[in-house]
Amino acid sequence: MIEIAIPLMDALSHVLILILVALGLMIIFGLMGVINMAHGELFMIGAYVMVMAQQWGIGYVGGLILAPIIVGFLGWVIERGLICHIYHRPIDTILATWGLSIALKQAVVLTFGPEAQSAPLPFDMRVGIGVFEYPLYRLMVMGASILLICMCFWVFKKTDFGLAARAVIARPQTSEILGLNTAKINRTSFVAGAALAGIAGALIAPTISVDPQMGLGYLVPGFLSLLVGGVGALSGVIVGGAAVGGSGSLLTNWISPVASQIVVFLMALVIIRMRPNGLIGGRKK
Amino acid sequence: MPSPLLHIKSLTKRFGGVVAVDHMSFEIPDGSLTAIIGPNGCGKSTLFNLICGAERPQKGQILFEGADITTAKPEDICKMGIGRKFQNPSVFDEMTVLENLRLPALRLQNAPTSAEMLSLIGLTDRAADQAGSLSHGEKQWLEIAMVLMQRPKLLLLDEPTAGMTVAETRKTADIIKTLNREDGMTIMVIEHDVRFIELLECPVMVLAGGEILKSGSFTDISNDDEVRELYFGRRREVKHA
Repeated sequence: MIEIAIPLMDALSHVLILILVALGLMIIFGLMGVINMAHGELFMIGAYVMVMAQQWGIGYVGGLILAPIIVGFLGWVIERGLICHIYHRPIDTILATWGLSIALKQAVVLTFGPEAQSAPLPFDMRVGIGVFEYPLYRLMVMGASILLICMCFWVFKKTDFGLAARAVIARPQTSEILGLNTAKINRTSFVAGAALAGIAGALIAPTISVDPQMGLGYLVPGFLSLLVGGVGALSGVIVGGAAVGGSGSLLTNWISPVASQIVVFLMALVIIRMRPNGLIGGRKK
Repeated sequence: MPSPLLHIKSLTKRFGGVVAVDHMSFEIPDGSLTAIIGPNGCGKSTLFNLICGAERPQKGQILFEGADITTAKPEDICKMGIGRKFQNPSVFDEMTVLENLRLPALRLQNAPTSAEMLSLIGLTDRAADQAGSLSHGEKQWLEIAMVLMQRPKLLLLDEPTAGMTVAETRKTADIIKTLNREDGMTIMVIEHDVRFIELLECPVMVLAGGEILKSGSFTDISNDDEVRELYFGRRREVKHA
């Protein structure tokens, strides 16, 4: 029982963080058609904000508040300074955001050095769940992730902004002609997507080593989650995140991490080949 | 003679070597209802695209209430009071009928209530259904209702009755005439269905090769030999720049 339960909980924890990262990617990709190769670096900067916040004495809660604000602001700067000039040019956005990801990584290396950093756990307790014990912080991360995912769904499904954003995803030209300010919706969405990456990075920072390369480890599975679940459908991100993150995390209990990644990539290839629009069948862009 | 709400001055739009709209000039009086007919490729939809900002002309000027909107953004043109219904129903299939109606009203303080519009288009019972499940005719009405939610001063309807039954077409003509005569809304309608144009009882503009071939009453137009030849006989050649 314990042998199964703990890996399952670890996989769930990984899946929820991956869904947060993929949700940010989906909002940006689904709305603007922008494949943001720098999304992993936004996640990484969120983690660094948590590390720095603890070093500056602001504390864990301060880091958790600062991370989405700083990374969201960075997202706003990126959108205004770079992305808004190359909308509707997908290849250019890939190249530009790829270049940006390298620049951000190098900026972090120059500022903090290439070595890994760590953020202390805010509390190092374990709680009993039936027959096994599990770290309280990981449970809190899972709870916070679920809350953030539910908030994203609520915003998209129940608010005026969500209604307008869904319209812009489905028919950008019609939305403009209906008087929707698509540029403002795009900008807000980019900032929201970046802030989500930032808070995901901050949440996970105390449980992993924080280094300039950590973004890639979430960017690739994040994109795979989108493709496997289906681009354009929020529920697709959850299904894709569960399939990619869950299988990857569980497999590492029995095979090497490299072998598990190969299996996950192969599984994703088969799914995309069989269901080009993803498991949920959202809009293919 | 009422003052023109819309003034088109020597408007030209080319797509590569094809001239879609060729130095077109006309005025649309405030409170008028105008039908636009012409064979496929004569520039009808391009003209609407230019007016609502979806396309930019190479030459010419578009004045709306005296303001130059030639290079304005579509969302700003919409906010000035120009509403446009597309040729193919551009409703949001994944959203409910009610959500579709809420969309254009998001930025407005005094939009009509969704209930009013649902009643007007006869979809009150289907408010919670996905728009994708509606018939083609129902989608056409939903899109018309979405445009009406914006309370436009100028309503551009691109083939509003395509795919509708005879009864639905008559109802649509009645709605358009009511909006024009009772609410004073200025309306331009592109349509292929000559019977529908007759029902509208309004001036007709005939386009051919990106130019205005004829203008006049339905009777004048339908008795014009050149129009009859164009519509029922051979087509004009597509113009090349």
